[in-house]
Amino acid sequence: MKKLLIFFLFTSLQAHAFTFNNNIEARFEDPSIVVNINGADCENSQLDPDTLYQMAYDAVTDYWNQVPSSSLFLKMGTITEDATNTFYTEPICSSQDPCVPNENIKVDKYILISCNDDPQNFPSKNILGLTLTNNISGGYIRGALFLLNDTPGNLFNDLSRDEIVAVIAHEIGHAVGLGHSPTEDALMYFSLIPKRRSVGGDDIAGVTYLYPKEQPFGIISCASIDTGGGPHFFFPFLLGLALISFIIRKVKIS
Amino acid sequence: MRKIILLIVLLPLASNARKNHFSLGLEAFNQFTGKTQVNNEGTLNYFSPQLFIASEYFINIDKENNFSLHPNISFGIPRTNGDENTHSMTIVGSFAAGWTLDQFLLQVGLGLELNLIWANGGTERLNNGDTYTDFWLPSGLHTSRNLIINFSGDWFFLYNWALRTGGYVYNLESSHKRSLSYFFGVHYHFGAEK
Repeated sequence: MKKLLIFFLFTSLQAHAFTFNNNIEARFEDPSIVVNINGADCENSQLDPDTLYQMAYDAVTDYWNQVPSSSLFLKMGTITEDATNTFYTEPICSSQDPCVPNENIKVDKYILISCNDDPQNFPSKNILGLTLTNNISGGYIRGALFLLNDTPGNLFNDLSRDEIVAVIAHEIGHAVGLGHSPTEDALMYFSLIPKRRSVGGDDIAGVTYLYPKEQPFGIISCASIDTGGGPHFFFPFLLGLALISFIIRKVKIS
Repeated sequence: MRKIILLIVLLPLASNARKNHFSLGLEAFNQFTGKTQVNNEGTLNYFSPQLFIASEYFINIDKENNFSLHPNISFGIPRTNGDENTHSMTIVGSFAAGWTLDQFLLQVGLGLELNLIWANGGTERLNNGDTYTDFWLPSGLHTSRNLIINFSGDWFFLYNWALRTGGYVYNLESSHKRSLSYFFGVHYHFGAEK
């Protein structure tokens, strides 16, 4: 039954997928996006900020940062201590239908992950998380908030670590602009599946659509945000090949 | 001396003692191997090929040493990634150096892979937990561009027919996004007489 557990995202405003939740296809302007963790303890889920940080790291590393055709690169930031209790207790919408984002928990320039125990946000224990891109201007997402259900009786204690990581990765997908996918193999499918190991084809298409890789010109910025790589020799190799071709032609002529 | 240097540089690369000619092939292309989950049991795409049509021009630049150059363009049949409302298509252009040894042709070079993704807009009603919600579909065409290192090997089992296998390497500079695609197929070489 646990495997069939529904987790759904309550994207009341602007969030998308390989569908989008709005019609402006909003995305972060810079595909290098910082993910911060709120410093409040998740008392009912028994997740401390350090554990949540490590899970979020696994979520970005094992899922979204793996897509070869996308320039999206999520970087773990810090465990923030600003207004920790506000993010833990306040509703995500100041009014419902339609949701008007709560200005008290507006996020600026990054994705913030926080636990939250407000029953207005989580009327059902089946809701594991909700994400709202609550700072959008000029067609771009400026900040997004992802709240984990920490109300009493929530179902996080029934999930394995890998399943919680998959839930976090799913919600981060909403935070960067993706909506739900109709395909079961996609991370952005509305429900947990028996075994989740990677993003699906629809996820790759969605994140590539929003944040396409743009080499060769994009390779410079890509190199600047990825500290785990080796030498950058595409351009020298290309020039070398051109030089070899030129020399061959000269030899042939002579 | 110059020939020796050229030999050292190009020996591990590719080409042929045939005259310039054109080839056309059908290939099975497995993109981003091991990066994509293909079912709900956690299976990754180690073998989920799509059909590719490949065309190539064979430029013989040094008959004595069997070196050649190979501009190539390949493209896949448009696909849906499981969601019929969105479509994608892959196009690869590359330029390789080749070396022929008896019935075998080895190539290595550089190229650009384009992934085109498009949809016609509108909405799609999807499960959102306890309810169904209309989600917006993408509207328009977006294209990603990946530089690739391409390599391949051909075996000419008949004079005009060759079996080909090879691959593309992506994002060597990134430990996270580094990836490999592979392909295999058959090519017919038009007018490949010596």
